Amino acid sequence: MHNVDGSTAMNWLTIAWSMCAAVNALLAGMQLSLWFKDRHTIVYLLSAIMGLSAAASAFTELGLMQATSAAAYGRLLQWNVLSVYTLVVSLVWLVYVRLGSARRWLALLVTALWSVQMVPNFLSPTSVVYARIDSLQQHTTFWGEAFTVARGEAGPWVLVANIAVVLILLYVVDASRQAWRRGAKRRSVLVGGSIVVFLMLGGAHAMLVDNGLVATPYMVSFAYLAIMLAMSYELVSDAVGVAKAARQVAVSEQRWRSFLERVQLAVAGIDAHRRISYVNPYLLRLSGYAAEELLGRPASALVAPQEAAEFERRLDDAAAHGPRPHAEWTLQTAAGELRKLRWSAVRLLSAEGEPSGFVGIAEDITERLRVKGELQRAQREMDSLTRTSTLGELSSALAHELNQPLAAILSNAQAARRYMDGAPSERAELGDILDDIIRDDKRAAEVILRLRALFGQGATARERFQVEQAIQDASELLRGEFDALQVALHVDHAPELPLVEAGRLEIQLVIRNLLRNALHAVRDKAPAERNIAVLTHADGADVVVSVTDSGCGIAEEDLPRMFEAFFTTKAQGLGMGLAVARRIIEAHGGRIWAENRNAGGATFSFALPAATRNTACA
Amino acid sequence: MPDTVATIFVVDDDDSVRRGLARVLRANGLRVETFASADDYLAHTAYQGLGCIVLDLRMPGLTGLDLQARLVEAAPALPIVFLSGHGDVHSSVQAMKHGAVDFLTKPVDEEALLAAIREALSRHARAQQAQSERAVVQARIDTLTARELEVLRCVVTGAPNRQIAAHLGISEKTVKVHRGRLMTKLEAGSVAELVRLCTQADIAPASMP
Repeated sequence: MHNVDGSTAMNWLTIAWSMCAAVNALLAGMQLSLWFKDRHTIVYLLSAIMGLSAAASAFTELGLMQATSAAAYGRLLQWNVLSVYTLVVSLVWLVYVRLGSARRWLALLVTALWSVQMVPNFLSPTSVVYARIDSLQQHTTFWGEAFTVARGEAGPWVLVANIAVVLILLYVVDASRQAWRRGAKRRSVLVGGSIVVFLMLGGAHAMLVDNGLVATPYMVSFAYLAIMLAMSYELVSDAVGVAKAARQVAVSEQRWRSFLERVQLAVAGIDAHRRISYVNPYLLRLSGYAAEELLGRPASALVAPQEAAEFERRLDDAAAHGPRPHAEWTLQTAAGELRKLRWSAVRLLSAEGEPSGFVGIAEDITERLRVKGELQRAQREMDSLTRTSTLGELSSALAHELNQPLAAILSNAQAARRYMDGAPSERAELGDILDDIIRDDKRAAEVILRLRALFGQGATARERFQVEQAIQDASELLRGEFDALQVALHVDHAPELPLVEAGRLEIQLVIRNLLRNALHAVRDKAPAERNIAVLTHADGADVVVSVTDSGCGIAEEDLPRMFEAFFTTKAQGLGMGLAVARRIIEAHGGRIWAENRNAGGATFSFALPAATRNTACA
Repeated sequence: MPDTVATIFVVDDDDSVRRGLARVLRANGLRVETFASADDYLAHTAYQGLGCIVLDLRMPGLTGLDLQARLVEAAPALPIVFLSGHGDVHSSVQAMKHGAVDFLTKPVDEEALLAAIREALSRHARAQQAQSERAVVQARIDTLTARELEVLRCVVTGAPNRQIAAHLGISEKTVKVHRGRLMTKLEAGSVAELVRLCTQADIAPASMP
């Protein structure tokens, strides 16, 4: 190193470029040492290459400004371009790795464009920059220090070089923008921003120098120094962030640990070798074992011996496909007691994605199962009780219904026998007695018919008839009761109602039941207000019969239960009438329903499918 | 039948059953009155003579058991023969506990019904007899003065006069006088007879130390 003009002043250019090179080298050294410690983090290696390249660039720049011949200048320029090349390539891939948002094809293109230039760079004695060097010009800085700048014709590859520079800028801007959008704002600004700004400054300045527009030494290495500093700062921020995260992890782990120690659930860890690696205090208390009795034992120690084989098999399966969401296993405690645990486990994977064991959490469901079992038993008892009591009620109701007419028949018959032996005046009553006996016999038969209808057995033969006729027959049979209560029966039939095909007696029974209910509903009203109406109409393919009364209606809460067997609102009712009616109507493919009228009272209706016309003509 | 003046009250809501029962009882020479409900029976009868009730267990309004509960309040009640459409153990136990004569299940045979009625009537006759005797005894007891009644209650404990005198704070001689008077009024000849009368009239012996 010598002073060109022989001045004895400090050689500031040498000092500045040397320091630039030194700092770059230092940063590179730090990154390199980081990379040696953590070979997985390629960023360190790339940063180190970049730093070393920048240092090399600074040294060659210093050589260029002190070059004394065009040949030496050209040779130095070749090496300078090489250092810039390695720098640019490492930079491109650093951005690629660091921001994670860069376009790979763009990175590859930039790398290729720069690599291609290296061939002419070393083939041409004047590097890729110049086609030829015309002269070396001596310039002085404003403080009087001399340095060399070349003058010559730009090389044929300059266009490629310029495109390559522009592409880097585009590449970095694009990657930074993507990174910004993804939320890595600080990183995108520091990495992308610094590269773009300093690359533009350095590159523009270098172009100006190349074209002889400004007379200063190349200062590209300073631009790279700035970039290097920015990147280093960014890496340091990361390191600080990692330290903070580590502290948070420690806090979080502490929280988890205290949770695991206190939670009233069993927690167990199983390592990659199927050995128990963790048991929480609750599981220890539950099992009655000490921690050292369980830790390191095979995982199957967590289940009863008879389940061990199955448990192992399930672990194989879980290691391959992940555990099932829930599994129940029996735990055999130190005291030999068996407890049922409901486990929920997760498979742990190492950073490499290899299965590294399981963590399971379990609830002791022994008590719950016991209670559930008891409940089920109680429920079964209840069901059986209900069945029995229903049967009891049914037989009691049946006994009452049948025994009434039978009692009357027996008494009448025995009375008749006495009268036959008695005076002729007494014999006159025999006719009445026989009438009563006949009627009671029919009554008993009707009970049987109703019962058969209720249980759907022995359905009577179906025939084709007019519902009007069935209504008339039913009301005829109840004439006495209507008269006794002085109830007015209003009957209104729609004209030309289709026939129905049904069991005539059964339908008559339904109508009779509805009329009886209606009579019951109006009996507490004043005689003038006791009205019952039977209306018929056709509704599509159905014949609808409605029985409306002027009673008090049905309580809302009773409406849904009206047709249930043994449901009754009458003090002495058996709750069979409507259940029988529903049974009959539904057996005929019809439906029956009850509703309250706005004007008071209730309407019970049923719909029966009308007999089809073609069979009606047959 | 031992007594043709007896009246049988048939209470049943079923017209047909009621008619049949009435016929068979009348054919056996009994006087019968029928009622369609327990309320009807309570409203219409203030019968004082000999009789019994043939009562259906299951009826609208007041049930047979309800009516029985009402009737036992008024002594001497007419005895009741229950009829039931079906054998209900609980109801029958309750009915018998409250003094029903019998609990028959429909359809009821003539003979069984007549036997139960016969038993009911004789029970009623005995009750009436006891009732009239008690009335006689009561009438005699009503003639006693308060002091005589007091002495009577002491005498029937079997205590000697000296002790009675000490207990009542009167002289032994006075006790003797009261004792003589009350024997006369009650027309009793011995202490044993006095004890019987007291039992009939429901007079408790004095509690003496």
